[in-house]
Amino acid sequence: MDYSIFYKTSYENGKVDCGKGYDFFFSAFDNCERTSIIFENILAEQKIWINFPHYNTNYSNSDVYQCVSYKEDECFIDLFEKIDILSESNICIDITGFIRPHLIYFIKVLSRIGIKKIDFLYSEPILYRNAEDTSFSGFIDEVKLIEGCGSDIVLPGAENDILIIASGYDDKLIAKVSNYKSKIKNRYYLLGFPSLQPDMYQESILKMYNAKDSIGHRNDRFAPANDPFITAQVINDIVEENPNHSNIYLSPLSTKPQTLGIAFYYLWNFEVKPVNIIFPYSNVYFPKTASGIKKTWKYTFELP
Amino acid sequence: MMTNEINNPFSVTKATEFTDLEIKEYWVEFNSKENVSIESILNPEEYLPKYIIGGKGCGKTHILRYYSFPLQKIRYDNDVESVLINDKYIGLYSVFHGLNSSRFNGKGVSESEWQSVFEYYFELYLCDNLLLTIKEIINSLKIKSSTEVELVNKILILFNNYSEINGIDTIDLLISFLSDLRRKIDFQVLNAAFTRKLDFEDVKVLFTPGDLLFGIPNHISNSIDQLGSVKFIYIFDEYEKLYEWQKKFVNTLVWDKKNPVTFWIGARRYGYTTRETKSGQEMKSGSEYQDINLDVFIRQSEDLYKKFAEKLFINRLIKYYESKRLKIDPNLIKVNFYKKFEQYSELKIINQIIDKNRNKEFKHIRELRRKLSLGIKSGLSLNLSDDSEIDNVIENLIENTDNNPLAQKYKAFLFYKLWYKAKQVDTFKVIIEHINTEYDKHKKGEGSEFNEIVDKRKKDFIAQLTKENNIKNTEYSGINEFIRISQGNARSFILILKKVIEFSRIRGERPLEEGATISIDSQYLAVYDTARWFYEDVELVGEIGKKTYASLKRLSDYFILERFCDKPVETTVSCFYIKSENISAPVLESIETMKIHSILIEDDDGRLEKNTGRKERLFQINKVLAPLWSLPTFVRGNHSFNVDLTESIFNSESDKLFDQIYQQRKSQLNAPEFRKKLKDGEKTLSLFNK
Repeated sequence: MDYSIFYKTSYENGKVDCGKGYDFFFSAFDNCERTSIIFENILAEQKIWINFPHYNTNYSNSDVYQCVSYKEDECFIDLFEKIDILSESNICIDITGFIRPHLIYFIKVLSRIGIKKIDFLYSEPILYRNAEDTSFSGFIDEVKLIEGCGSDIVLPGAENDILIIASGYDDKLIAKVSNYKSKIKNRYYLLGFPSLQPDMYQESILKMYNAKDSIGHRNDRFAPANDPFITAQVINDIVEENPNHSNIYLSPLSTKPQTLGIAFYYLWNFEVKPVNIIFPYSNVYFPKTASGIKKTWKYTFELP
Repeated sequence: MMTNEINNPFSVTKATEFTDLEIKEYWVEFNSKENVSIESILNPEEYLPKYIIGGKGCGKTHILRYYSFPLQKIRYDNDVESVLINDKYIGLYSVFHGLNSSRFNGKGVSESEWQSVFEYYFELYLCDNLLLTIKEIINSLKIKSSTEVELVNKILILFNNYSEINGIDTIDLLISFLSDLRRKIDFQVLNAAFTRKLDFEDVKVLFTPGDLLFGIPNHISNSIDQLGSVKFIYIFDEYEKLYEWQKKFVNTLVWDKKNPVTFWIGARRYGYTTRETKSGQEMKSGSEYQDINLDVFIRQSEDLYKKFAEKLFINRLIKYYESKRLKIDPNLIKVNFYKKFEQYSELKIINQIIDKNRNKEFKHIRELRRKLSLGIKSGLSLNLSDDSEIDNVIENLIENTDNNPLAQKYKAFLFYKLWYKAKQVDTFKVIIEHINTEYDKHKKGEGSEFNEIVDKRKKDFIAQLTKENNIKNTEYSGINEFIRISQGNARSFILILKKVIEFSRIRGERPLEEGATISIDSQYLAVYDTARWFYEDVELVGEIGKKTYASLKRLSDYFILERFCDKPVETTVSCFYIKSENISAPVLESIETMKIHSILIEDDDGRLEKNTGRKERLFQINKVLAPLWSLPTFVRGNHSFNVDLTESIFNSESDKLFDQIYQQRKSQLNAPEFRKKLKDGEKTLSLFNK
């Protein structure tokens, strides 16, 4: 399968073309102008802010769905009971402020409902507040599989397992995941290149350097930081290069579009390959780590 | 023999990155006291289960893999029969990370359901490796197919639904059958995240726990003659990856083990949290299992560890030169490698400092000037009443030091010490006269107060000078020092050498070529970078992680204060004693956490307190961390922490108390504040008898 042929386009200043509008629009409330501008502009029957407890914001309104649980599989139980999403519902999700494991789980739920097409929006920041020292999350509580994002094919011989980490700014996360799966020999690090901003690639390389002794031997690969489809394609290429692979572990630690790429690859493959998504969990995330809105991307997913 | 060209002989720092062949090639035996080796401690001849415990990088995985069946085959040139005849055991190595044990949790499913499903799954998972190994042995030994059919049939009888199982008569088909059962569970576990339940039919347990793990080896022993007296050792790695209740299940298997099976279980120290079985009973160490603490085993003799570390680097260098088609005598490799490291030179440091300050006064003199001036303002500078008198004090003090900053440091130290102790009637003139007399005697090689100062405090003052002048404190250099600061941890040692080679190459030094020298700068960068890695790589998560890092910060701040002050009390302090009976439980827990993560190393002997005879526990910050804060690595000076200080450092809620104690101590150790208390209660008799 060629993942690179899927559709993506971009808009300036948050002016997104919504066509006839959506049935549902979801966005995560993170107190950033990147998300609020899009929320205002989008055309949808129902627009829902998802307020994650991790951000610890007090925002409440009639359009807010307040997640009570930190866990992704418990977070949306009430939401799906309140709204009536059908397999033919027209859905758009602004992934900009979403917590990664929750985003992936959310997409998998929609896929299980039978939705075949979803538009995802992502707004690039002008810059992160503290360049390469930007911290997105608090102290890590646990590294584990994202709920519901394993495979029903688990191969006991772990010798040929593959670990693919989409590596971003947070070297501590990269080190934690590398340590958690320290017995995996075949380790690939997917770097965002071209990056969202010209200097961001160099900054993420600096971060990788910090984690290099926890990582050990590594293979670097590149995929554009803003392109989920090329990300999925590069993952596919890595897997094909390792025909004798056993279990595959993917870990989305970089940009949200690359996270989407991991979700995309996973959804197309988990029924036929031993593919799993792991993540270093923290109960604390810092809202407003970026400033400005440069460009908004729209990615149209077609699901199996 | 490996033929690929090796770039950096120390580039591999984890056993995971070795192939099976490399595990054998890079194996180095560790001989302990009374010639006890790893092999004799593990003792594959006995059935007593072992828990092999150790921190990261202690060599645990290398050891466990070394005793696994693929390595046994390599050792016997793939002659399986010889493996069975000579070793009399089969090592069945499994890594737990592949279980993804966190799956068996939450999702609206009850704990008891998860427990039952996990136990069932665990056994099916491990049997895969067991049966694949048996299949290989059967093929190698050319066992008759009728024996295989008979064996498979005996195994199937272990299943409750035996009568419903049809068409399975080979090990291959049996493996597929077990794999299908596992896949049903995998499917249920995966979907429970959405359905919030498990389908009973798919996860129904089809055998009694332990039936397969113990039953299959038993049937194999009885069915295949060559395996009749062979032990089956389940070798587990990453026990720490399991939840507490999962560990109890594994302990129950260990406790309940049946011949011909036994267990070797590898765990990080922080993950070896329970000895309980499912019934709540504690297993008895010695009779029911044996703990092998690799860290303690390796650290028990510095001399033996040194020999081990030397063998490690020689072995790697032999492989390196072989890959370049060079055959060099191991002794020569050792001697030459030792020689490559530029030696630590205090003269070089002193010259650097002099160069840096060619057009300005040394910082320690400027500081002294500032402190005298502050003292004058607050009435703490003895007889001085005006800043104009300071020049004269300084000039007299540095007399005879030939612009040598270290010599000035010695004199300044005695100056601060006497200033601190001086009585109101004493003057700086008298103090300096005394200092200069003693210094002259020292220079002439006569008995002098300076002899002890130089002997005991040189390293501390060089550390102070390097910090004040922002140059590298290269006291951590040379192979012997690398071995010492790695404190029994092979990975730390190899990582330092890896980085030494990397930094040296960046500096164009061609470190592995004949006659090349590895600069002191490259060595410093390597130990510093290794310290940073060790600090950041501590496998601590959640709240405990945050608290531990906060405690370590306070502890290192305190030691920095003790070393980098005007009037250090102890010399080269890096250790501390605590009286544990008066310490609160959370603090003891925090210290224990730092210990099991090897942040603190405990000296098992401790000491008995003079007055009460009570035992005091002795700890040191892991030497590998010392370069981060320019702390000493030699165990010379130590500090007795009282209860308040201990609580303030290790109790996460004692930030304010620590700040108070820290400020108070800072005042006691630095001029001119250290005079404040004395001034109030002092007598008027002179410090100097005339």
